[in-house]
Parts: sequence; C-alpha cells; structure tokens
Amino acid sequence: MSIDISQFQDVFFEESFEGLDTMESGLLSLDVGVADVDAIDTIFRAAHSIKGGAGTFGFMDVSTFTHVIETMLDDMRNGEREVSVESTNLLLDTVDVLREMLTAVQQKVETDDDRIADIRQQLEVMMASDVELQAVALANDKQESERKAEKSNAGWLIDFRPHRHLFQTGNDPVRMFGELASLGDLSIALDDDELPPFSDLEPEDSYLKWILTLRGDIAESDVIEIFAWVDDDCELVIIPLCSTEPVKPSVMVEKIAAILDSEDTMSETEQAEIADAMASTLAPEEIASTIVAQATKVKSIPVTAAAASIRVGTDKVDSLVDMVGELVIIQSMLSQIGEKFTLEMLPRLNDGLAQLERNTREMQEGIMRIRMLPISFAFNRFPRFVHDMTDKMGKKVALKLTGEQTELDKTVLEKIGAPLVHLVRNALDHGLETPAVRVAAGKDETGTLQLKAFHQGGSIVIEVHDDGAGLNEDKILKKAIEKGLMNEGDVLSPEKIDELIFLPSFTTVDTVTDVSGRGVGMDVVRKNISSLGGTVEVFSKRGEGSVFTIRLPLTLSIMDGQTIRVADENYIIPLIAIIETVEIKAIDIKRVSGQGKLYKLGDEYVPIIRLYSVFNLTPKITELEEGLLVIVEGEGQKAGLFIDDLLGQQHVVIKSLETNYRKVIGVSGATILGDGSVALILDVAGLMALYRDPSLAKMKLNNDRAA
Amino acid sequence: MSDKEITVIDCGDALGIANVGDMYERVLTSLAEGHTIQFNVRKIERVDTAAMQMIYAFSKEAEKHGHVLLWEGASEAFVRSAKMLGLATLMNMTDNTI
Repeated sequence: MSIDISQFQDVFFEESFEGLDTMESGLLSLDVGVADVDAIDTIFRAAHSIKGGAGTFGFMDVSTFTHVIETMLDDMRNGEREVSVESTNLLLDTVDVLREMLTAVQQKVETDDDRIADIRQQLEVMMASDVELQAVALANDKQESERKAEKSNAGWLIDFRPHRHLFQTGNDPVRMFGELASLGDLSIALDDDELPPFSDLEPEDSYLKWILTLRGDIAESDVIEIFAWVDDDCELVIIPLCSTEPVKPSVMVEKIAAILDSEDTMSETEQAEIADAMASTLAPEEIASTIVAQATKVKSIPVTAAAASIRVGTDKVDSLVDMVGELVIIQSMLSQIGEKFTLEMLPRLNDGLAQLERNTREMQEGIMRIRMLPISFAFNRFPRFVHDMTDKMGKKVALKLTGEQTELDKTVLEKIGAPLVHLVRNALDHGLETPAVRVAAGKDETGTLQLKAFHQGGSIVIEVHDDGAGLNEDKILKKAIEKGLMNEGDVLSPEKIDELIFLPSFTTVDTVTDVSGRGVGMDVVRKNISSLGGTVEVFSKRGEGSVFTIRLPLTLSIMDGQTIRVADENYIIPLIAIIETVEIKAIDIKRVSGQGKLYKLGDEYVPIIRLYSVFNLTPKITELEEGLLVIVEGEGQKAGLFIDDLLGQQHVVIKSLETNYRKVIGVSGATILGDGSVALILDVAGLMALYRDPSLAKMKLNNDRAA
Repeated sequence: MSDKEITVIDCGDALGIANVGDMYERVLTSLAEGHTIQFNVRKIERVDTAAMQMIYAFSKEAEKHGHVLLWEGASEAFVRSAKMLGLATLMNMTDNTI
C-alpha cells in the first residue's frame, strides 16, 4: 500500500513559513559578538525541519539551500564562527530567499535563480576558511556579477487595470504614476475601451486602464510597494523587462500565439523575453493590445494559495463540539414538548427557548472565535522592517511589541497590514530623530517605537507610539492656511490641528525621501481603517512623540447595532459610531444658510441630517422637537441623525450589499431582523459625505435604486 | 459666430473626486440646455484621475461631434497630470499648451 504524501504538502508549507518567521525573529534577537546558544538552537531547529520536510517532498533545491544555512548556523552554535552584523544580515537574506523558494514551489512558478545563486555564493564565501577558497569564490562572484550586468534588469512592464471603485478608496493613479516616474523612465499607454459616452459616465468610477513601461534598474519590491494600497482594488500584472538579445517580431508573435493557445501560465523567463521583445519592437499601443490579450494568463504577483486556510486550536474546536452537543439536547427537548404540547408545559417551553437562545449565541461566538487570529501575524513583520529601515536611515530605534496575542478577525488582520506599515514608516522617517538630534534634545540616542494591541469594550485598539519629535503644529497650520483649508487668524486647539493631517493629500513634507512622504496621505490610512469599520486618531506632544490609536471592530461579520425607526423603515446604526442620543430642544437649534440646521452639542455645533430626506421616505415626523437626534461620529467628524424613534440594541449579522446588489453611499450593508424583515445598516462616514457633497441628489438616486 | 450661450466651468485650484460629481452634473445640465462649455483650467494646482477622466470623456465626446478642445493657458499641474495618465496627446495638448 502506498501513501500519497502530497496531501500533507499544505501542512508542510504552513509549518515551513512559520519556521521562517521563527528564524527571522531569532536572528533579529541575536546580539553581535554573543553566541546565544538557545537562540541559535531555535533557528537551527526551524531550518532543520524545513530541510527535512523539503527533502521528504522532493523539493531538493530548498533542501540543499537550507543545508548550507544549517552548516553556517552549526558553526555559530559551536563557537567556530562569530555572530557579526554581516553574518546576521546574510542569514536574514537567506531567510528571504528560502521564503521566495517555498512560495515558488507552492505556487508552481519559477524561482529567481540568479538571486538564489548570489546568496548561496555569499554564504559559501563567508564560510570558506582558507584564503585560496575565498579567492576562488570571489573570482566566481566577479564572473557572476559580470554575467548579471550583461543581463541587468531593464525595468518593468506593468498592466494596471483598476476596479471601478478605485477612486473611492482614496487612491489616485496620477499620484501612483508620479511615484513610478521617480523610480525610472516611465512611458504610459492608455486603454480607454471601457470609458462610456460622456452622458453615461459615473464620474466617481474608474474606467481607464494603463500599460506602463518603467525603464531602469529598479527592484520589483519598489514597484510592488507603490501598488500595495490598491492590491484588492485592481488587476495588476508586473513583468520584468530583460535586456536580452532583441527578439524578431515574427519569433515574438509565434511565442505569444503559443502561449495564448496553451492553458499554462508563462515562466518568468518567457514573460521577460516576451515583454522585452515587445518593448523593443512594438509601439506602446501595440504592447497594450497584446498584453491585454495575454494578461489573464500571466500572474506576476500570484495569489497566495495558503491564504484560504486557517489554523484553529483544538480547544476551540472541542468547545464547539460541546456546544453542538448541547444544541442537540435542547432540540430534542423542544421536539418532545412540541409533540404533546399542553398549556402546563409553557414554562418548560420558555426555559427551552431561553436556553436555545443562549446556546445559539455561544455557538455564534465560538464560530467567530475560529476566525480570530493573534495580531502577532501582523506585528511579526515589524522587527525586520524596523531593522532594515533604521539601517538605511542611520537611526537607532528599539521596537517594543505588546499584546501580540490579542485576537482579531482574519479579514481585519489581513487588511490592517498596509495602514500599520504606513504608520510605522512615518514614525521612523518623520517622528523619530537621528541619534545626534536626540542627544542634543536631551533624549536617549535610541528612540522607542511601541506597537501595542489590546481589547477595549467590543473593539480592538492598536497604538503606534513613538517618542520622537511629535507633530509640528505650526507647520501643519501654515500648510492648512496655504491650502485654503483655514483662514489666517483661525484659532484651533492643538488636537484639532493634528486632525488636519487626515485631510486628503495633506502633507507637510518638503522633500520626498525613499522611505516615505511620496504622497500616500494619512487620508488613505483613515479611509482604509474606516472601510474596516474602525477609526484612527492621533495624539501628539511636541518634542515628546506621537500616538496613533486605531480602533477596530472584533469582526466584520457581526456587530452591535442600534435599531432605529425612520418613517416606516427600520435601520441599524453601528453602536461604535454612536456618542449619545438626545431629545432636541428648539433653543439648541441654529439655522444656517445652504446646509440646513445645526445642533448645539456642548461647545460645538453638529449638522442635523434628516434620514427620511436622505432615503427619500415620506416622513411621519418633520418637527425636530418631536423626534430624537442620534449624535454619531465617523472619520473624526460628528453629526446628528434625526430619527423618529429608538427601538433596541442587538447583535446583527452583516450581509454585504455590494456582493448582492451594488455599493450604496451611506449604507454599509444589510441585516435580517428577528421578524424576518431586512434593515439597512447605516454607514456614518458615508452619510456625512452625502450631507457635505453638493452632488447629493445624484448619490441619492443610488439610494432610491437600492430601496 | 455661434449665438449659443457659453457656460464657463471654473475648475478652481483643485479638482478631484470630491467635486467631480457636482461638476459633471453642471456640464450635463449645460449641455442639455444647448450651451457651449468652456473649462477654465488655468489655476489648477491639483487634479486627480477622476477629474481628468471626466474631462477626457468630455473631450472625446466633443471630438465625436467634430469639435476640438483647445488648452491654451492650461496650468502646468493640469498638463502634467494629463501627461502622467497618457491623456495629453489624446486631448490634443501640445508643448505650447501652457
């Protein structure tokens, strides 16, 4: 009898990627000159498991490569090799290469052989003990460099096809292409096939597509980074341009034809060959049409197959099994009552139903817990990230992570990565000072960057805290006045001034560095977090540092909501967005021209949004004094929603409106209420946008269609 | 000379997704009323893709009806954004546009 071991491959990949994370964090914890045997042992064991597994599954390249790493680690463990900055950095590079190799094997795509050979050679050079061997290795290295120089990276061909909603995410191709142009020589070919006639245009939707040719010796990661924010909002193909011998057009056409006929995806070499051939022989428009034809076959940024799986602790599964057991008992008890029901049995029926409700809720929570993963999955990238960034910037920064075991929903976790990277990068680049500046300011030369996660109420709070220079309110104010966002002489509290950084395209950075300040504004960070139902706030003290506080819901599929009534309809307001509910007194209402009425809340005025008007309902109550005002907050702004009545608070299961119908501004989803009716869940930020935006009538049309 | 009324759409110094919907409505209404449209893009310092796309769609429509849009005096930022999106040639912008 034979066993098909390929069924265990997924587990091998999952464990190997975890092993690589362990190796990375172990290497980052090593102190120069100190052979910490325990730490090296841990790294060694992780490498050894990868080597063994790879050998079992026949991934010999991975196995052989890991063997070289193992040898070097063994030397370190035995004290035969010193732990130096160079050796640690090289081992970190080998972890990156191993990760790439495993990903390539997992997704059945080609590996970057040049990079593997380069790192392997560097390892061998470092390990070569006698001078002669080093000389030979160096000579090989030189040959390799020359070979590579001949075949240097000539740039990238990028097929960028935004989804219709791209603009609404705050991302702007003008800015992104500007960033690409700063990396190399950019030529642009437009595909406007999907642009409708002017009268049918939805101006907030994106119809244009582009083929971009970026020439220059540019790292793929730099290109990918520019598109990191639009990962879920576009189709993207990035193909390397290699300066190989020019390919004759006829050869190229045959090659493309062969690929279009085949069901397989192209290897990277084939992609490069074709891309280069096209770039050297075709006009951009021709490249565009050819690429459009083949784009569906090529994926330079493959989707991670492993993303679809999730590891669940047996304790969580056991507890679910227990709950199902209890549910079966209650179900059989209720069936018995139902078969011979008499009025005397009513108390038992009520007890049974109460127990059923309790169990259903527990089970719902148990199932949601399955999707909960520790935030360490998002935090783990930062030790390496901070290590590399501070090296580049000549800064000294100690990274502290707390609350890594705080759990949050897998989807939230996957999407919080990019905003967190942005905040950390900003803190490193703009917040934390260089050692000399810090010492001059009387601070320790090593700055502290703290990432902290914890539960608070029904939310997850993530804080990004640095003890750097803090926000420069004078500069922010000056920029806001320059941009016409404020008038000279306007008085704002420091907190309100700090809030200005979240306005679209707001930047006080005078020069663009290669680390940050290229224009992805904090507004995009806020938009991304808002799309997860969360909020972000900043607190800063000049000279002492800044804290960015992100609040996120525990899960995206269930939330606590307040049911409200407007005319004959029920709506849900997310509880997290509600500050308070007030009865309106005429004395607190102020009429303003154009935008209706304002309500005096403490020492500020908030706009009153009449929901019956937004949703085009026939109102039952129009006098403000007869209804209620729910004060809500979204994206740092407050507003009062005028409603007829408050009904009750409940857990609601969110159903996507976008999946089942289309995106409707002001509505984040729908839910089914206990009586079987459907209620729309209000999107507070969207409602405020509707209120502010002059094209309200047009957007309202969408709402009418939704209703 | 045409006796059509002219609607001048002043794009101000910043044109983006926040006001492109409003501007689109104005253009549509003016077109429906038979007006001639003029975009004033002299002062634009910042323009995003949504806005450029709307103006490009308009220029395509105009071209379909045998009209050519002239961009004399267009701001540098406007022309730069058009070039960045591969629209400059398609919108008949020349090096003398600015």
